[in-house]
Amino acid sequence: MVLVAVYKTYTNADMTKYFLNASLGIYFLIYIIKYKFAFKVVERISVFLQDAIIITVYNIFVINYSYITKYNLDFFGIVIVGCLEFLFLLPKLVRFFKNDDEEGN
Amino acid sequence: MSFLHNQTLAGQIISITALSLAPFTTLLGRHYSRTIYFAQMLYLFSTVFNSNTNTNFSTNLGYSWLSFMPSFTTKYCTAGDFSCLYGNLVSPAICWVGGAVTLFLLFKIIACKLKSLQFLKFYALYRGFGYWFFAPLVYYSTLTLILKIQLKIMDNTLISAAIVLAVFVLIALIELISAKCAQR
Repeated sequence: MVLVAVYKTYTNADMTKYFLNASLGIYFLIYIIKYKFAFKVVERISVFLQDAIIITVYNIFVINYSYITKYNLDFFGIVIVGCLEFLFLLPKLVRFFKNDDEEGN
Repeated sequence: MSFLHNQTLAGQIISITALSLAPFTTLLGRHYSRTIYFAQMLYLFSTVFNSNTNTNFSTNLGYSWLSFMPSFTTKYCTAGDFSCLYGNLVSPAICWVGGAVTLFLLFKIIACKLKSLQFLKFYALYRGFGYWFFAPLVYYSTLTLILKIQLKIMDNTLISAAIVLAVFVLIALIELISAKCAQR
């Protein structure tokens, strides 16, 4: 968000676009390596997919904006990211309520 | 012609879904919600990168930036101030920080009697609500700060933006220290 704000104030600063790409990529990479996931392999793949979608959509915005309006790529992107997140939240949610029930008994 | 006939409604549904997912992701997944960040980023991209008047799906994701939120700060500010312009974001941010401090003190008082009560467990859920306004406020604060410094204008708006950024940095530092302390 900070980098996009910098980009908006310096409209001719093309470097910011690429810097944003690099910082997003490095952040996501560190996150995937360092974060302790509940489901080690499957969740890592899902997070990698989500991050890849975010970076891809961002690049389409920068390189060819008309693709976004023409094919609704932003819509598909957010729907996939949301579904993947919900998919991995569901078992945790079930386990959370199940543990609560057991504690209640 | 887009296949999405009612983009406004679709945008609102997705924004509300993203907002609802955020607290549960921080509570159960112990990480930030990518859906809310992506929705907020898309809305921002649609305003920053759209040089024409083209409308796309992302322009309808305003709900993820709390555009529907009522603002109380507008009653206490002069027109054009930071808290007036972004009242819908500043108001929940003030409530959130105030709530966090109050609940922390309350938890500490109750923990004197009930040793098992831990504020960090509750904070995992509470932090999720912070993601509703965190990224947009950081964006607006940075934007305001840079523009004001460029124009060399030293007014209330600049000070407010700097305070907002400083508070977020402080929160991040406190979170980091408390997480390290909890690990020991």
